[in-house]
Amino acid sequence: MDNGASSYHRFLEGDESGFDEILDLYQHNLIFFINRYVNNLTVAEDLAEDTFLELLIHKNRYNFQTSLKTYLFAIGRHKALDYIRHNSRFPTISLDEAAEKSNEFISVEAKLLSDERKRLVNAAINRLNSDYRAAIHLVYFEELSYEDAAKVMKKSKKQVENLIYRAKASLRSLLGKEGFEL
Amino acid sequence: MKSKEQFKSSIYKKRDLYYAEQHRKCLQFMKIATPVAACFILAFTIFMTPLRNMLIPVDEATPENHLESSLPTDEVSSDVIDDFSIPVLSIEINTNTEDEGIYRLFRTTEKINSIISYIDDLIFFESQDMVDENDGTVITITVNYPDSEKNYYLRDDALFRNESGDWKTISKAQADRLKQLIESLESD
Repeated sequence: MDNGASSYHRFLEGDESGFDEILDLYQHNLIFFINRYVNNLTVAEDLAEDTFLELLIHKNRYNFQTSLKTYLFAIGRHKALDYIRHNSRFPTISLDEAAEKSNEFISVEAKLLSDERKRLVNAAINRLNSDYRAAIHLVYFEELSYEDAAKVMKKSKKQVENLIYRAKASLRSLLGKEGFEL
Repeated sequence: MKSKEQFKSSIYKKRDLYYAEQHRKCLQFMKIATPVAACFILAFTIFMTPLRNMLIPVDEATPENHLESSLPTDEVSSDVIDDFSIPVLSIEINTNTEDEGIYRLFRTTEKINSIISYIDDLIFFESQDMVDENDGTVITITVNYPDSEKNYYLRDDALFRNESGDWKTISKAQADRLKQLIESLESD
């Protein structure tokens, strides 16, 4: 057991520090992954909380056969897609609020992505469609294997490979237009 | 962005809310489920009890003692009330009016048995009427036991019997047949 599975096992046996370790491992990664879908850091944070909540209330669902990281990111993706689906039907956010949140996200993002080169790449990634964004994020930011990324995205390995290939082509095109040297 | 502690505390708050919501839903379910279950049991009792009684053979369904039965009934069979296991010494028949006077005294086993067995088979009903022995022609049938006696009053329409203060009656057809039986037998 690794990737936090042993920590979760300890948590299930009553050791609260196990949950803290899982938060240390995945809190920020999960928020940024979900943010790839929802493009709103506050919402991403809220959905990440809901994702970790699943570990607390449905304790028997994780079977310890797959990586805990894959399990968590799969739940996170599911929650993000649910949010997008629900929000597209019932949009509730005002334009002012959206602008405010966007600024907040940009400021936080700016702190994290201080390097100009990284910021440009990240901005280009954010302009990709959601599947490309998620695939790129899982494989290159979370360093998941194609198999694990496929499990998270509920797709086949081949589909993930195709997504990555097309995402890279799109990125190349976007960055090329902005004069980014590849 | 929230700090780790804020993030964790927010998750635990959501967990508490989730459990509180589950508890509320459970209570709400119980609030609905309890009356529904009670109605179901009541309906089952109402519809299934008569059906069950219909399916049980009559001799099994009939309680051995109507007086002890929980089912209310006005009908009381004679074999419950009459205890003819005690030997009957004689049966005396008398009338309150001399015009249509019938007097019989039966001592022989054969005649006693024929009357007793007839009375034994009678079906008595609860009656609100009281018998006035001087109201019209009333034939009194006195069954003499070694230590006691029992009186039956046969009026024009029905036979009455006083049992512990309660009056019971039989149908007119049965009363007529009993009268014919008495008249057909010669006094001993």
